[in-house]
Amino acid sequence: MDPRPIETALRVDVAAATTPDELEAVRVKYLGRKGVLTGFLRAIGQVQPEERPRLGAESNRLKTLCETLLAERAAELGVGDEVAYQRPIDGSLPATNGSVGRRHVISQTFRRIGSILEGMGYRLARGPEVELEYYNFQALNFPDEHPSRDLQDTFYVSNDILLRTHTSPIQVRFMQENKPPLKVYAPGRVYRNEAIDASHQAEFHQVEGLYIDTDVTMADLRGDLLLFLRELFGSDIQVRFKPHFFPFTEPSVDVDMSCFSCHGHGCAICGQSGWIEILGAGMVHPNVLRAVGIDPDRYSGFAFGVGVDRIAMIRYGVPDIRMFLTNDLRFLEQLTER
Amino acid sequence: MHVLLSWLRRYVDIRVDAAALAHDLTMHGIKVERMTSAGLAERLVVTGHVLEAKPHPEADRLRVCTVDVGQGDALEIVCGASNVAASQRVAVALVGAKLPNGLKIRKSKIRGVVSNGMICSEVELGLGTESNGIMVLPPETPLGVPLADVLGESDAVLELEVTPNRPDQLSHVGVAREIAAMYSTRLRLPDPPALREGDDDTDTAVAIDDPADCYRFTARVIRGVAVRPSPAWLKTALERVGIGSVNNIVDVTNFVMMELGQPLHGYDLNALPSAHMGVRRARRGERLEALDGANYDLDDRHLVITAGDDTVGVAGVIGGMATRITEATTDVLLEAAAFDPKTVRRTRKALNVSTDASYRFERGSDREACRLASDRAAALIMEVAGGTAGKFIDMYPAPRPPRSLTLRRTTVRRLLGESLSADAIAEILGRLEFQRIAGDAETVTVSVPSFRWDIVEETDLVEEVARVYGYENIGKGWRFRTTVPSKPDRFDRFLDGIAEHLVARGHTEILTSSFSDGREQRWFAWADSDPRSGAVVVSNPLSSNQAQMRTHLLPGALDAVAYNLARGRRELALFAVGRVFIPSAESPALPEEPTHVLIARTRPGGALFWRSPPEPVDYFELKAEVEVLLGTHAPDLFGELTFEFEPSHGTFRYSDRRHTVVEGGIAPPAAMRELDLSQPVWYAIVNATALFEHATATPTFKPFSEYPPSRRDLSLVAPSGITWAQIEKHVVKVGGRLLESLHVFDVYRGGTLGEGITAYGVRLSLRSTESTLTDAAVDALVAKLVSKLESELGVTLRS
Ligand SMILES: [Zn+2]
Repeated sequence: MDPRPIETALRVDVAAATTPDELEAVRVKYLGRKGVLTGFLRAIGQVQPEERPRLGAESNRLKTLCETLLAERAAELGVGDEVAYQRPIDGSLPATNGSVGRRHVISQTFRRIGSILEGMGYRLARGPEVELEYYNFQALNFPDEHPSRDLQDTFYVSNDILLRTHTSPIQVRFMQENKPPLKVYAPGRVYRNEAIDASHQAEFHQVEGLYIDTDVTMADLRGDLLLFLRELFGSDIQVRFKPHFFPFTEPSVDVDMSCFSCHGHGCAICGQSGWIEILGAGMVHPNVLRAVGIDPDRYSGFAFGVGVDRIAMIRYGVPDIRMFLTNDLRFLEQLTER
Repeated sequence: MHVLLSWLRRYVDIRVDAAALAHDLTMHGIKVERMTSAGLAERLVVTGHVLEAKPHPEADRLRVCTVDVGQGDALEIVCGASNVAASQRVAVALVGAKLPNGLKIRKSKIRGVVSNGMICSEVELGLGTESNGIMVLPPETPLGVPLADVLGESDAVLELEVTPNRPDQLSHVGVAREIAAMYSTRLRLPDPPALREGDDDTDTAVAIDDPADCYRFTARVIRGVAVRPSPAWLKTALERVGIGSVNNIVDVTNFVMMELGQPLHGYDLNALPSAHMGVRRARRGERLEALDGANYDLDDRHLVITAGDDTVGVAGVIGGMATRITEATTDVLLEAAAFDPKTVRRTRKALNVSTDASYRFERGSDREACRLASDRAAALIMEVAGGTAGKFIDMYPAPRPPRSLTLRRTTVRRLLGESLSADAIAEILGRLEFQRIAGDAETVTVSVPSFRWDIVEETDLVEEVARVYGYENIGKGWRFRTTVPSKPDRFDRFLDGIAEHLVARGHTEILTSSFSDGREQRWFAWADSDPRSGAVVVSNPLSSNQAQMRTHLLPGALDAVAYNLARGRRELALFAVGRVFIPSAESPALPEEPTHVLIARTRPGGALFWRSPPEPVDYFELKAEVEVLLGTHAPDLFGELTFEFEPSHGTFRYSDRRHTVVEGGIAPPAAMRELDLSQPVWYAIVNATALFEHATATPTFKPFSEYPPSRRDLSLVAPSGITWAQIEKHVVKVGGRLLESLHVFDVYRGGTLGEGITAYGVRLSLRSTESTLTDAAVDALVAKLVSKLESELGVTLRS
């Protein structure tokens, strides 16, 4: 069985067709139920088994070639689509492989936050989750034996090693290795040894921002946070600064944003207050700068930290933080946002 | 901490209502977490009109009143107050009412006359601390309505979040001081009357072993007290801020602690083995039964209070049971002391006990406050329990040295972006009791009050200025600017690319816990030489099944698979991106934290579908997924990896010279049993960290051939035990640069070929960049290949 004469005849027939009807006749001649190529395929059954694979492939090639030649010629004759869809199918039947994939809502939120911050000049920094006590506490101005350590219940691996309770140690590592000016964000998973309930999880996610230069002030902090939150929640968002305490910042700020849902009038999301507590921030404490060899009389800067799980809960109305690690597809499939 | 609005008003004028105060405090750094109204909650206390007040027939000092309470008949009520009179508007507690002091009103017979309620005084209603007779309401007061409604907001309890740096705010005076600064008004400190400083109590003495542990220890004896329940005002005040009433002496010590922040302790003088009080470290083997009823074993980490040589209390934490104030106590020894915060914290953590006293001491108490607190408590004790106060005995070896700090205007401007004059800065600090002692137009030097532990450097003063100035006034002309360019993080982009790739191929991302109970070690039984056989262990886990850090992503993913199959899903295609924690050889170094990507797929056969139903997931489906991923994200690497397949476990591995880059297979039987899974799950783990190392090369253009390819189809017959990978290796080697592609189009096993024999249908595509290959050249290459396969593997060409 030699396919070459068939191919030659096919090329001749296609070239000779000058109307849609003639082209259709060629299609039937080769691809129809009693067509030449169909016959060729049937004949393969009669030959030696070891010949079959090669001829099968040839048959496929001829069939593809025939369809290509017909489509090309149809295009030349200006009849394209009329010829391409002659087979009697119901196109409304379901497709074969319909599986749709999705990002996890936490990854999606990380991405959204990261891309906003990158647009504002922050670059990504990362660090270990199993961290030295030094980077997690000492270098961040948590004194030894001080009640400020009770603010963050900690999982310990040994005396010197713990599971980081925040992503701030990344800032310290980054400042050790880079000279100002520097502007970074540090995303990642953090751990707290806390009783788990609808709003507390022992493993959750944070993004921290840090900006150090010669004259960075609280006004810059307000500017960056406004821009960031407006990008995230809407252009009419306002922020409110309240004094607070973090060992690694001074002054420290508790930041509220006006409720994106009720625009400050009061609703269930904001507990009727019109404000939502959204993040903690402050001017980097001079002890933190000194610990990494940056002169606090020359440089100043701000840091802020935001809970990714909390942002996602607020943004998507998720009632229970534990849903993020449960991986119920009925949950994961709901919250895709592109 | 709870504070009471009426209590704050003793020390500062507050001209706003409770809600406005709560808002202002929050905006100035004392967060009010909750506000509840206190005062009269009982609705059975109603307003009444006294129609008549006659003398009691049996008792001169009692009156029998007829009171209209707006409903039903007027009530006959017996009243003992001298100021009751007809036509007054009064507060009537009806039968069934419960008063704040615990009294329950019943119908009762008083000296033969039935009383149907009670006409109340402010004290009885918990609305005041003193009163002269019953509470008389204004004549226009409406009749028969709950008094609570008439009074409106009576009092409020504010629940404050006091941050650990501000122990000075753990008292009403401390909070009042902030309020005074906030509203720019005056603080009124309690001013107890001067007490007689006799030279009695020569027996009493105090001694401190180590001033590093105890800065100050003071004692004062008060003789001749009567221990009894506290008066209503004291009881009510304490109860409203969450402290239970014990007796009048203990209540006074607690009241003064809540007033001034100075913890106090009262001992029964006659129960003390000696009046020679001391402070020292405990000796190993000492034991104390404390006020909470628990017995504490002490050692030299613990600081204790002694009388003679006996331990009578744990310093700054809790007193002893044996020397506590009881109803039999007549003479009290009152302690007011200041301890080293770290010592108290260490002691109370070692003993696992926390008290109001230790909470304050471990944050830092004001050692200057001991005198005022002792005087104030002694005066109050005499007021509520009688007795006579003795000499104030003071051992003060370690006064806090006076401190001063200088704040530069430029620092304020650098950090806040606000330009304030030196005078404005000094005025603000003055409101917080930082006195300006020096300075010029550019600087302000202030003394730091003894209660401000948190103020140690210039920046701390900047925050004080900012708080009082108002955070909301800072950065009003906010701006965005940046002085640093950002750049994308390549590894982050790489991971994101893989994640998006897997999403596009139909996988849903899951997020799994970093904790493990050691399942991966059980399921995979890694050799001891494999670092994954160990794990990073958490010493204080939440629960025993979260006691170590994962070394593998499969357990968490299988949990997700089991969870969703149990909820009716049949087909799952999942992926996870996360770190695993591989113990480092050199402890105590930190573990390695490579980022892994897991793919898990499961699909049972036999699903109903209108076309041919999809097959169950199998090995080759997973392999395709892995190869598409590698080919897409590490195109240079893919051809260079070593592939191994372990048929008995159904596992495979791709590795480069140093790492396993991908491994996977079918979920191990132990996992299937443990999770009760019946549907096979195929998975692969991609070590993204290792893969990324290869993803960095920048490719360069290589010219491609302009000549046509030559194809040859071969049927190769392999003896038992030869794998395709072995054949492929030789074909690739012999084909060299001419081999453009190698395609297996048929695999036929056993049957007519014989047991264990496999025939492969293979298509070679050969192409040269230099010329069109002649048939002779192709034949020669094929012949060379066939002879190589035959000599190396016993593979023959089937004709
Ligand atoms: Zn709202």
